[in-house]
Amino acid sequence: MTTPPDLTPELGDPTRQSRRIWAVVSVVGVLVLAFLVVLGSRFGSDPSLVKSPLIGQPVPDLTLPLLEGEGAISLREKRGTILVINFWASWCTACREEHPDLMATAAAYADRGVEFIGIVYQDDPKAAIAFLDELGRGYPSVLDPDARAAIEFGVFGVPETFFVDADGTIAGKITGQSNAFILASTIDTMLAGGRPGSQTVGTVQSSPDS
Amino acid sequence: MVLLAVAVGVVTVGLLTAPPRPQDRTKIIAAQLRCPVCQSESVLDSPSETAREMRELIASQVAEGRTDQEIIDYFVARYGTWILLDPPPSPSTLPLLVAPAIVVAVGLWLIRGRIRPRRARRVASPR
Amino acid sequence: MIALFGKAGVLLGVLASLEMIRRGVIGFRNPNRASRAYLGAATAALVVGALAAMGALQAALLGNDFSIRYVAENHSRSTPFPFNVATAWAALEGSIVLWGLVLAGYAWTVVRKHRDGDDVGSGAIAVIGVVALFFFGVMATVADPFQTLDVVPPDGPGPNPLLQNHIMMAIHPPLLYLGFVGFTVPFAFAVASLAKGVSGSDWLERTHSWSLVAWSFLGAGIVIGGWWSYEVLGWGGFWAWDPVENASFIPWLTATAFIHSAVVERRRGVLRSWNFVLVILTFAMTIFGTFLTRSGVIGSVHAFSQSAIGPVLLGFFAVILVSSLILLGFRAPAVSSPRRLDTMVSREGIFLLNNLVLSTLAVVVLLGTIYPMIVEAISGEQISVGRPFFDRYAVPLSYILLAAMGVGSIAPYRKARPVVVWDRIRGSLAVAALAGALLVVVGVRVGHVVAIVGLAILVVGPVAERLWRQASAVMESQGRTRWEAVRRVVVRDPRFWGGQVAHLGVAILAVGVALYGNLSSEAMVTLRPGETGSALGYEITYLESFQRPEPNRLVTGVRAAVYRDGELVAVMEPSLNQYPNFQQAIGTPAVNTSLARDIYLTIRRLDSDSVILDVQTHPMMYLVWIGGILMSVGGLASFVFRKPERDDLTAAKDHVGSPT
Repeated sequence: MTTPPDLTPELGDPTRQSRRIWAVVSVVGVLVLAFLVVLGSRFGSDPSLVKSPLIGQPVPDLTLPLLEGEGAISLREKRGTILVINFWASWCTACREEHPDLMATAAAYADRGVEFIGIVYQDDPKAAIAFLDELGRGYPSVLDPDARAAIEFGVFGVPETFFVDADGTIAGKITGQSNAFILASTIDTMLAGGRPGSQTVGTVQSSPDS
Repeated sequence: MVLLAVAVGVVTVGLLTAPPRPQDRTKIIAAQLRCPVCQSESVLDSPSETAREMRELIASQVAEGRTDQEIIDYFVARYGTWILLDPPPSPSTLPLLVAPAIVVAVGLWLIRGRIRPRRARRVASPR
Repeated sequence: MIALFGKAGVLLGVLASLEMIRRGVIGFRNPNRASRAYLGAATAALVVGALAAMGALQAALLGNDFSIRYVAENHSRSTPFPFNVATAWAALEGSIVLWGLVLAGYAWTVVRKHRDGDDVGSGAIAVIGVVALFFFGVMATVADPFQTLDVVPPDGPGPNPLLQNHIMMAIHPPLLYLGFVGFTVPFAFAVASLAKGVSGSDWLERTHSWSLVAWSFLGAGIVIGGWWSYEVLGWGGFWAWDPVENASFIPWLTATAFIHSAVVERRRGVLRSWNFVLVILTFAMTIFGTFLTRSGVIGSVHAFSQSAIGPVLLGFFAVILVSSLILLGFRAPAVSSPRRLDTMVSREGIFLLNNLVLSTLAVVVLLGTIYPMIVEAISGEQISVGRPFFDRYAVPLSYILLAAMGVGSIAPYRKARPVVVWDRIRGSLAVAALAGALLVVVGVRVGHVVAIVGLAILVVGPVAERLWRQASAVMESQGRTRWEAVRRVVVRDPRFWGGQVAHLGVAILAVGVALYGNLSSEAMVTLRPGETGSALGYEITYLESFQRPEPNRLVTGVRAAVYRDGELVAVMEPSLNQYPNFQQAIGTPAVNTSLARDIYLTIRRLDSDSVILDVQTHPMMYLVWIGGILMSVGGLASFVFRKPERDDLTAAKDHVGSPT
């Protein structure tokens, strides 16, 4: 080995190097700022809310046993009526809040060919019945063995409410706690022949503690 | 050296002739799906009730003879592409899929700038 | 009363950081006024303020002072020791207090080494003061841990059950913070050095200890977090590529790259700008990681709930990153080295490759973590990025890293002639090939496992061989025992051998992960009481179910006897822990560890007349923990290996790098 070759300065062009560094710095800077804008827009939104691709699809062919009493309800056989399907559980606080509005809306539209069905989501039937004893009934609720209905409807948590038109097509969905106004306006849209699509009103609870 | 060659030979032959391991299709599919009621776990990993039901549903669909793609499509139709832990190529995922390649390319370009060109090397270190 | 004391501590912290900045800037501008006494006083005040804040929080928790909101929301009278202590960092506000305390501690270690007339050091203390000002300012405003309640509740709900289910969750956050916060020191020196326009690697040399300490703690924190996940969450895994895990992994990757490229700079005087970039990115990523965890923009097992701190942290991250990059842009031409490497085929070339791989992995993990957010913000489309995506990059990149580790540690600097490298690795290659053959012969015919075991031997072998040879030489020339000789060789170059301890840890970890990923099994059994079922070659008898009230929870579980070929292996008790105020029970797995494998039992469903058990076996799972811990210890080993009789500075200056 002779003199260490690396100790002789490279005949590099300092301005070129400086330009390169500035290029890197500005690219990173722009990326960071763009990224900030994007992230900033996320504040306040809930990362657990996901849109449903089921709007426009036929209602799943499910027959679900009644929560109370004998018998079962087949969703496909309800063709000809507008169906409001509400997933709920006794451990879900938003379900508790929206229940009176669901009952009132069900009563208000009962004579206009609109039926409501509750589907109990991951709950003890006894607890579910106690929930209804406390808050009232007004429309039937069914059980969801093997969570088949929840999976067929792509449910992330409760409450989620689906709207099925008279042809048996899913026409709308409310994610989170609904209220009388949203329920009525969604049903009105459907009665007028429209397709309301999905709306996100609030968060859903995926388990008793979330 | 002979030893090395023999050992390498044993490894190669041993691995190539290894019986295909029994593949549990249910697990393979479940590992690709995101559990809808969890935070970021897969359907395979999650101990939640819904994930368990989904695994059973996958198992029954496998037993019915449906292909992996059919089963995955079944879930995508209900939950959207959100449920896929490995986002499929699409215009919106393109940047994600090409970014690693770009990083490697830029990295190699930067490294190249740190290496003395061959010509300069000869000039700089005369023997 | 306690709240007032705590608030006073926070206020003192704010004032002390302002004074650190003021004094630091004065000393930075004029070395004659870079006084150790003034900076020491300001930093001491910061330590006192931080201790007062943490002390007040602890006093409030241990004294059940539910008039403080933080205590009322996160503590309960029944929370047992040590979880009541750990509650101080189990939620957002308290974790910022811990952050402040750790930062004050690091600031103190910096000031202790400070000498009068050190302008760059003063500047660094000013930078630390800025960071401290930010965190104490946050405590004083958006995340006030000492907010009081008008109506004092008699008791609180206690910390999140997941966090009080295992002791490791009490030590995981402090370790992680010791890692995260530690990078403030090299960052501060880098910024001060850039601002001064000092060329040379002085800042690297001075902050070497802090970089290694921070890196070690960060790694240990991550490993302990994985261990906790395995022992508590009950899914049988330790790494889920969860956003919060990624948030700590990204700075670890850039820090690992930094530690290696710092070696190249010290040895060869190249990569100066790159080291600045890495240290800036590492520090920025610790802030960004904190942001990801604390802001509620991502859903995760570990993420804290949404709070006003999100935008503040994001803003701080942006300011830090953009301002230091602009500073670098101005100064880089002055500080960067004009030198070039001769060839990639050299140890430094392999270090460069290592940096490329680590940076690529860091970008992949970062992008995968935030990409869903970006897409949703732009197009509203919702996508997920999870394990299959990350594994696709992490697995091959890990192979490259392992190979680079093996060859890199023994390749000569400057120019590694293939003959020399071949000569140094060929023994280990033979051993690796033999080990592979042995594995194949005994029936482990899984490509990944054979390959990783071979690579691990390649990582450890050549270096062990070198240690042996050098020790032999010492024995001959000085007539010492083998053990003495090994010790002498190691203390002669503590950094190199410390690094090799870390490499040994990585090799063990890699084997553990390969075994886990390829040879684990899982099965479900449904059993009635008294019934025996078989799974994975074990017979499992459901002995009985039990209920055991504990002060803070109700433990419901099953006792199951596990037999193999009629012989009792273990009686295991997987359980479901019900915490008051939380509806859902937390499943706790039962783990039986032996030399060959872990048996991992979790209750999937428990009814009055039957239980569904999830049975998993993980071969040699302990390799993952041992390897992980050893890797982290390796970072600290260079301090242990140091020659005791020599002064720190001279030892470091005399023995940079390794003998070739």
